[in-house]
Amino acid sequence: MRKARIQSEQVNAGKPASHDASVCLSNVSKSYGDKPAVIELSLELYGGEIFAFLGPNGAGKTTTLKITTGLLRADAGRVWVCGEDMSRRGRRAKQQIAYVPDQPFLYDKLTGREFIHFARDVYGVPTEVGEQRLAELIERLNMDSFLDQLAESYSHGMKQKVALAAAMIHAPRVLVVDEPIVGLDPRTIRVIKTIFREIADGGGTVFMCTHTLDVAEAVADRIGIINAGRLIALGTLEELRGMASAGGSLEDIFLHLTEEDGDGVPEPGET
Amino acid sequence: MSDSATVERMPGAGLWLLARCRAVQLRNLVDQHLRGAPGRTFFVLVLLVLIWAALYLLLAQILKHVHSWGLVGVVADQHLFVHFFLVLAVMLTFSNAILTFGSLYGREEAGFLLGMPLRAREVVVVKWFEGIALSSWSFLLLGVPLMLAIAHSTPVQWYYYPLFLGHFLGFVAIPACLGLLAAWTVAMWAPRRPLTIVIATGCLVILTAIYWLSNISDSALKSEEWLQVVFKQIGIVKQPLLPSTWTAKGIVSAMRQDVGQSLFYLLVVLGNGAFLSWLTVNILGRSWPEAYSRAQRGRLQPTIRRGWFTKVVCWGLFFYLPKKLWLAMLKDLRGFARDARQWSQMLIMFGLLVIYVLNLRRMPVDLDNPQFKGLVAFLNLTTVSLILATFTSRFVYPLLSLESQQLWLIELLPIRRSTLLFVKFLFALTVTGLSACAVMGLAVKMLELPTAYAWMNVSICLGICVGLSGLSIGLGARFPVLNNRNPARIASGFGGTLNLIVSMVFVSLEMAGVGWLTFNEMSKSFMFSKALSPGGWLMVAGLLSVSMLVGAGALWIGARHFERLET
Repeated sequence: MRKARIQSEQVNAGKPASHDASVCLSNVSKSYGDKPAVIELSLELYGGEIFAFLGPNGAGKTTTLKITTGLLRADAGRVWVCGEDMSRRGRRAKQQIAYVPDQPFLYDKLTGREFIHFARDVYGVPTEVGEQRLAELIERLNMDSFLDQLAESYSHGMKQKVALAAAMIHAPRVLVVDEPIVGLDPRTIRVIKTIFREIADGGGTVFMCTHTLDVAEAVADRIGIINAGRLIALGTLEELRGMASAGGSLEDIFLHLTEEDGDGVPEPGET
Repeated sequence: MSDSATVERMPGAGLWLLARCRAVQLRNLVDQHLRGAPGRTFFVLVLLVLIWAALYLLLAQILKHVHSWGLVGVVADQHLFVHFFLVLAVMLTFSNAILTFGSLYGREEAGFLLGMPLRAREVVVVKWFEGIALSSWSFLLLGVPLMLAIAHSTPVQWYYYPLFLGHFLGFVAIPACLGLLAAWTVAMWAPRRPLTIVIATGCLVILTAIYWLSNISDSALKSEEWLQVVFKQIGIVKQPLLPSTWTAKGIVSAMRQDVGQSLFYLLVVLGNGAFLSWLTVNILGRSWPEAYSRAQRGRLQPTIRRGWFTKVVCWGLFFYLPKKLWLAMLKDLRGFARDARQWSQMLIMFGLLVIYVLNLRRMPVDLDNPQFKGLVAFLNLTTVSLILATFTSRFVYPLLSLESQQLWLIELLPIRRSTLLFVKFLFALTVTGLSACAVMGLAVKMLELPTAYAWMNVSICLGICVGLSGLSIGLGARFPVLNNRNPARIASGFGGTLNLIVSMVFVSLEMAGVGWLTFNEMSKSFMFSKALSPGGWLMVAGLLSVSMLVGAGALWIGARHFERLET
C-alpha cells in the first residue's frame, strides 16, 4: 500500500493564519524531554463547525487539545482562541472556551449540582440563566437521578455527563472535548451528538479528539489527522478521500494515511 | 453565543468562589461522617482527645523531669523551644511541599482549575491558605499540649496564652510558604519524578540531622553537665536569623512575663511571615501555568525501567515460590519499590531507629543495671511494634482493595484468590519482618542481652510481624474499598480504622506479656541466670501462639470473604 504522508505545509496551503478563526494554532511545537509530541502544527477552526481530530495513540492529539485550552504551554508557536492570545490573555481566552478531558475531574465531596454551580459562578453566568440551562441539560442528559449525590459515587459515564454540563453552563463559543463518548450509553451519545450539532449551528465551534471513527464520520464537518506530532491530513471527508487516493469509510482513509512502512491492517476475517 | 464573554469579575471574586467551594466540600465531608458513621466519628474524636492527653502528659513529665535535675534554667532558656520549632519547621516544610505539589502541579484538580478563567494568583492564595490550615493542625496537635504543659510546670500570667497562640500561628506561615516554594522549584526545574526527589531530599535532610545530633556529644556524660555540653555543641541552631529562634525567644519572654520583648519577637515573626507570603504568592501567581506545564512535561516523559534490580531482589527473597506466585510477588515488589511514599516511610522510621540503637551505649542511662537494660529492651520492642502497626495499617491494608478493583483480571489468571491473599501476606511479612528483626537484632546486640533474651525479643518481634501482616491483609480482604484508588483514603475508611484499632490492641496485648516477662523475670535473672525460667518460656510460647492465631484467624476471615467477593 502506498505511503501517503502529507506535509502540514501542503495541508495548510491556501489558508493563511487568521485571527478571525475561533481557534488558531500557528506553528505550535511541544516536546516532552527529547520526545517531540507536536511538531510545527498550524490549524484554524471556525465558528459553525465540528472538527474531529484523529490520530493513533501517542500521536499528539491530547497534547494539542491541552495547548489549545491553555493547560500546557507550547515550546514554540502561538495559540489564539476567539482572537485572544492564550499565552498573553489566557483568562479572557478561557472565558470563551470549555474543556472536557477524557478523564473528567469532579470534586469528590461536591454533588454534581454543586460542581456545576461552581463552574457557573466562575464563568460569571447569572444564576437565573444558569439554572435555566442546567434544567435543560439535566433533562437532556438524564442526570436527575444522581445530580444531588456526592460525585465520589459516580460512574465514569455520570462524571462525563456532569463535566459536560459544567462545561456547557456558560454556553462557550469553543467546546474542546477529548474522547466525548467513551463510557456513555447509546441514548446519551445521540444526545451529545445533537448538542454538538446545535453548538455548531449556533455559530460555535466543537473541537473534539476521538478514536471513535464512526462518530467522527457522522458528525464532523472537517477532520484533521495527526501522526507522530505532525498534521498529515486536513479537510472534509471527501477531501481526505481525495488526499489519500482511497475510497470507502473514514476508517479506511485513516488506516491508509497513518500506516507505517509495511503491510496495511487486514480487514476482519481477512487472512 | 457566549453570554459570559464580556464578564470581568472583580479582583478577589475568584478567591471567594474557591473558598466557598472548599467550605461546601468541608461541610459535605462533615455531614457525611456525622450521618454515615457517627460512631466512627465519635471514636476518632475520642482517640484524638486521648492522643492530646497523652502528649500533654508526656510533655509535662519531660518538663518535670528536667526540673528534677535542677535544670530549671534550661527550660527557661530557649534551647528546648529552638529545637522544637526548628524540627517542626522542617517537618511542616516537607509535608507542605509534598501536598502542594500534588494539588498545584498534579493532573486532576490543578488541570481543571487552570482550564477555568481564574487568576493564577487566586488559586495560589487558596493553596497558601490550605498550607496554613494544614500547618495549624500542628498547633492543635502539638502546640496546645505544649502550651498547657509549660503552664503546668512554670507560673505564667494570662497573657502567656494569647502570646503563645500568636507566636505559634505566626510561625507556621513560614514553613507553609517554604513548602510552596520547594514544590514550585521542583516543578520548574526538576519535573521528572518530582515526588521521589522531594521525599528523597527530605529523608536525606532528616537522617543527616539526626545523625549529626547523635554525634554531638562524644562522651557519656551525665545529667546537667552532659546536657550543657550538648547544648553548647548544638548552639549552631540558635542562629538569630532563624524564625525558630524568634518564636522560641518570644515564647520564653512570655513565660518570663516580659510582654514587651515577646510582642517584639511576635512582630518580627509576623512581619517576616507576611513578607514571605507576599513573595510566595507573587512568584507562584506569575508562574504557576508555566510551572504546571513543565511539571507535566516531566511526568509525561517516559522513564525506562528495566526492572532488573527488583527482579534480582525478588529472586533472592522468594526463590522458593512457584513461578506463578513468584511473578505475583514481583509485581507487588515493583509496586513497593516504585512508590516513594512507602519505602520512604520505612526508611525514615527504621533509619531513625538504627541511629538510635547505634547510640544506645552513649545514652546517659546506666545500661549495666539490669532494670534499665530490661526497660530499654522493652521500650525498643514497643516502639518497633507501634511503627509496624502504623505501617501495616497505612500501606499493607489497602493492598487488597487496590487489587480487588482489578478482580476481573485476577479472575482470568490461573491463581486462586486465596493464594493471591497468601502472596500479599508473605510479601508484607517479608518486608516488615526483615526490617523489624534487623533493627531488633541490632538493638539486642548493642544492649548485650543474654542469648535467650535476645532470641526472645527477636522471635516476639517476628511474631508481631506475622500478626500485624495477617490482620492488615485479612481485614483488607474482609472490608475492601472498591471505589477509591487512593491508598490513604482506603486506609482511613471504616475497615482501615478498625484494622488500626485491632492492631493497636494486639500490640498492647503482646507488649503487656513482654512487660510481664521484662519486669518480673528478665531484670532479676540477668544477675543470676542466662536463661529464661520455664514460666518465661511458656509466656514466650503463649505470645507467639497469640500472634499466629491472630494472623491466621484474620487471614481465614479475609480469605472466606475474598473468595466470594464480586465486583
